[in-house]
Amino acid sequence: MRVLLAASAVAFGLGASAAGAQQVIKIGVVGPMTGAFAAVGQSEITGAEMRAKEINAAGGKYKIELVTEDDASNCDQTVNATVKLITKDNVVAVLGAMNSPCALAMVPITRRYKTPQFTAGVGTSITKQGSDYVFRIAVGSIGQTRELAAFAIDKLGQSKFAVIYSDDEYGASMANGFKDALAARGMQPLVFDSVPRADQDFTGQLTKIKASGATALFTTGAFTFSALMAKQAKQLGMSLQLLGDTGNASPKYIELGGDAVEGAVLVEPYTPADPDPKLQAFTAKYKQQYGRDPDGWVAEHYDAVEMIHQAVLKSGKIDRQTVRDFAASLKAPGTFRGILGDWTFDATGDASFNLYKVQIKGGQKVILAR
Amino acid sequence: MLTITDLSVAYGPIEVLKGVSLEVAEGAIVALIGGNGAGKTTTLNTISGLLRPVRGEIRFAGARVDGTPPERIVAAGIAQVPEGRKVFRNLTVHECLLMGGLVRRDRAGVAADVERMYGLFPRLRERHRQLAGTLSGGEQQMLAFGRALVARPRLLLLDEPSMGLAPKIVADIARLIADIRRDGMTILLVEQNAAMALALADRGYVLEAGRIVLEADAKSLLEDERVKRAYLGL
Amino acid sequence: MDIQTLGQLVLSGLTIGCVYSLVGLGFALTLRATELINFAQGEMVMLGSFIGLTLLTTTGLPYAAVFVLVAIAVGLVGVLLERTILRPILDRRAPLLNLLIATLGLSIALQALAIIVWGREPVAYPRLFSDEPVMVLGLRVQALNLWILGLGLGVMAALHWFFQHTMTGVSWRAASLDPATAALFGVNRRRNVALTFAISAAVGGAAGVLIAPLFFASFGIGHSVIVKAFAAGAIGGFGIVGTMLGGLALGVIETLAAGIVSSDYKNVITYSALLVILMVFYRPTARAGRSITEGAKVVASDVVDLMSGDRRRAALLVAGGAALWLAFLLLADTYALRITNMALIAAIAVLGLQLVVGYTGQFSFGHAAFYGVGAYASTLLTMKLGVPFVLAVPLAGATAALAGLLVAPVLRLSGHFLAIATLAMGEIVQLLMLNWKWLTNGAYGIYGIPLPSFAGWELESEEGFFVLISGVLALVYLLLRRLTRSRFGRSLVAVRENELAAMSSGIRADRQKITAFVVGSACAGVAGALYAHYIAYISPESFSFLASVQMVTMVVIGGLGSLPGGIVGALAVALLPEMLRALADYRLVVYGGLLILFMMFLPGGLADIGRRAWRLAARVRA
Repeated sequence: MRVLLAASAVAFGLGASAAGAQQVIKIGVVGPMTGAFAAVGQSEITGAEMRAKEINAAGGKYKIELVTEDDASNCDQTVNATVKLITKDNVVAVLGAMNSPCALAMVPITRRYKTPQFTAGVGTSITKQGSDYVFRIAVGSIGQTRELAAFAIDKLGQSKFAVIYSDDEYGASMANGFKDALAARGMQPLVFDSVPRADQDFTGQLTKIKASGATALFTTGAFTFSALMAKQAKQLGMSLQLLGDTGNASPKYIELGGDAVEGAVLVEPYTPADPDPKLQAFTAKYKQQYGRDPDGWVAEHYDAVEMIHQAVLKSGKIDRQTVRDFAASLKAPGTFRGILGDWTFDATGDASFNLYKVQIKGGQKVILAR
Repeated sequence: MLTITDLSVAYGPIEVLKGVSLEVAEGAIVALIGGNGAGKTTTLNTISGLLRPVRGEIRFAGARVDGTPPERIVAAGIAQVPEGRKVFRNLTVHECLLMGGLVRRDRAGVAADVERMYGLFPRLRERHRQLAGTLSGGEQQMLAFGRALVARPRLLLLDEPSMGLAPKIVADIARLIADIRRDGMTILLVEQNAAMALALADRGYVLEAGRIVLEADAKSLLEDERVKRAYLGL
Repeated sequence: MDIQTLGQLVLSGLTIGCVYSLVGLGFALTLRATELINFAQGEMVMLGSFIGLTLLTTTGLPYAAVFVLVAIAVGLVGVLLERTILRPILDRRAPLLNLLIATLGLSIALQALAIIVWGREPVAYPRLFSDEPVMVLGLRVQALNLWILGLGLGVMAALHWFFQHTMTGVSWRAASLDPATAALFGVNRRRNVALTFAISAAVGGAAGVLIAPLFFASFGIGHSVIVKAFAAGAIGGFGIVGTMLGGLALGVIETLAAGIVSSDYKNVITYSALLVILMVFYRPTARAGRSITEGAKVVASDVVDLMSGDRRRAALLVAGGAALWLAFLLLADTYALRITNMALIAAIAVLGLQLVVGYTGQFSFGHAAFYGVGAYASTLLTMKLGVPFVLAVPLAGATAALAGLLVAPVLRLSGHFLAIATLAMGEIVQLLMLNWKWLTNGAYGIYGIPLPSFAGWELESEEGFFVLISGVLALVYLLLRRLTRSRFGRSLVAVRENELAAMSSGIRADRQKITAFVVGSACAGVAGALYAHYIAYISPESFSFLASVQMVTMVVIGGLGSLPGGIVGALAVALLPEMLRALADYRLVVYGGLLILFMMFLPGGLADIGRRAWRLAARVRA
């Protein structure tokens, strides 16, 4: 009853303003603005904001209004914020959350209220819940680890791997994905250990790795976690091929890790090192507005906002189902192309696009392959 | 030297001392006797500054001292040997003695006085590195005395020094008190053991339920029928 | 394992152990001088790491100099905090629990302030020493490690000297055991407490400068250390030398364990060891001692009680309440219903905690563990065994009650030791949730939890949940009310006020405490079950120490000993962050600040205000 009332109110409101004036596309953004993952939340909001500003500056039929809610990485708050965005702010779509478990908690809600959800969370189960309304705008853990493992084996010639992951949903997803990817190639990690997220001293684990003879180390968890481990490994005099997923894509990883992360190989959806003029322009523009290089999350949310914009432009309707259907229709390359290239979603809502393999050299990221 | 006038002390709504007045002349030993709960310890603690009176005043050497904080009372020259010894169990014997001189400025003087205590109590010197809590009851009492004396007081308050000690030790304590007095100390002696207290003292007061009910010279009190029945077990 | 590796492990262990020792010393000193566990101690570490960072990057001073300056600076902060916030609360002889909550509020506010000043992101320390390893006794070690160890041990040596060979130090030790007698010889208690906080803060800050180069300076740096630091103190009997050695030992054992055994269970082992040590060495010999609620304006009667003398007023109030409830149900929007539902679920758990903390006077900082047990129990029952919702919820409550029974031996501890024991217990339960993947799916959590269904009909709307949750809440409330009004309830209060006296009048204190604890756990379990089916996804992350802390806060803010207060407290604390959303970064500062202000000025909680308002109204009317 309530939803019907709300929907008709929205329709009525929009109908009234259709004559000439700019119509407003309200997009909700929920993520960690405070708390330990605030940096990631920053990427989310600034990416969306940049595109919104561009669209609004260009004039045109539609205007983007972003409604941002902080969840402080607390999943109960994520759900509350999502309910607010959907039922009170009447957004047409929701971006978020950034933390995988919180994105997962949102799924029943976005499904109940039939609102498309675009999340950069990489936890595998986010798209496995049977909801038609969830779209992962990042490459999931399975996809990432498969590419990373393959690259490490084929191009880096590694065969002795150690895996240390932080014991949360994100770390576990990545670690198990990597393990499975190795198994598909007939290999097993020599060390496979989890560490409590709050822990900061890894001498014990690193000693174990040294004893095992592993030459490559895949750490997954917050980038702080990985950077710390890299630092401590260096202090112990270990030289390992460091491997990382998009979690380490943030420039903070290099900042915190210093020269301990030299030579690390990461996969990321976006890298400022790409010489393509379009991407360079994007990087420059972002840097000018926000004072740092953009990362993959920035690009993903930038594209997501444009995707929603496109959905509305093409259909002429600001409507949740329409946006959802548009996203679902992106099956083959060519329909929607963003900064990250052609966007496609599979049947469960997982996006796939090519990942850069970059290596950190001299504090900068150098592209090795794509 | 010490004059208490109409002192009333309360714990919350309960009045424990009700208008107590007593006097301790310089160089004298005054005994304050009474049963459990009469208010003896309260009296001493109020003199020492741990408690604030509701009414009345305490004068020491002419100056008013009620209501001043304990550290100033010690500095003024009043030291207490508390009930139950209360040596600092986790400190060494030596450290306990040093605590007596906490408020004194002359460190050398304190060190000299501590030495004097070892002279007075040779057993303490033997045990000077031991934790105070490991000493016997009698040794702890010596320590408590020594600690108070290191403060170089002019008035010594003794709270039930004989409590819980064997008769032979009690005799030693009595001798000690007499010696200290002979050296010129003024002493206010609180005791349940009326016989011992009155034998040592010049004057005595009897405290019952927060009031002074009897005051006289010690000899008269020893012969008083009421005192004999109530406190001397006769 | 070769010597080089072993040496490396031991050295690393000693280095982190140094940090545990220093922070642990802060705890030990404060505990001995004031009987208070200062939860803000971790923030002293954080402040130290940030101030150190600022000094290192803006001035050119060498590490050792910065170390000393930071210790002094943070020491001063400690004095300031003691003077302005803690002393007023200590002076009022507030209940221990209030003091604890105040330090928690302080901890939250300080972290939030740090975020505002230094930013949200962790920051790396600049390179301090060359990376070239140094040869020591044939081992290759990092210069940084040597410096940290050297400075840390140096501070400890200095402190040891201070406490052994200066009169201030000796008098501190005397006063920590017997403040009254120490006062007799001139120890000013106020100054002593200020000194204690100064030293505790200073060593905390010093520890911060030591760990930050190893890890990063971040606002959460304190939290990762404090439980281990407290464990160090517990191992060492909270003595000065004991804590120093305890910390070093803990660091070495931990690091060796991670290197040789596995890191998964490392923390379980540490916390379990802590529990064992507490149970064996810290059981109170006397049953007397200060009750945690002593001095509290514990609400002996609640508003409903006050009304019982007037039937008509009672009926009016109930009718009014029902009308409000109905109005809310019909008029509130989805979002308002949503956040209220979450708050009401918390209220159910809080009522249980009120029984344990408010009525029986037992510290419990692990309540969220039972909440979690209930959540997982109901989830597994409905999803794996097909048990219907109406049965699963009470069964979940029973499971939580069983868990409470298993943990109950811990209740033999008292006061702050019980607090830490329940904290450790909560951490262990959370770790087991993470590690018993076969049962709980580990870190992944369990998603797709079915909605409550009654004979095929599924409950999905917010309104429906509001009715369901209110119903369960009312039921639990009435049950507990009956319980607390009975002889059992009165015996609980007797135990709280003076356990020894209660026992001598024939009350089996142990049995009463355990019963209250088990009932409280059951309430938490029921609440957890509702939570699981409401939010449809649970993971161990939701059942952390912070969640337990929040529940305790709800009890205290609502008013110790008041059941309606528990509900109001839950609503207030749960809804407050939502209402403060507009304040963004300052939200947490306000939250922490409110906690402190409450503890300072409204120790009786909201229930007390309610009672006073009711009395006032009654008088006005008369």
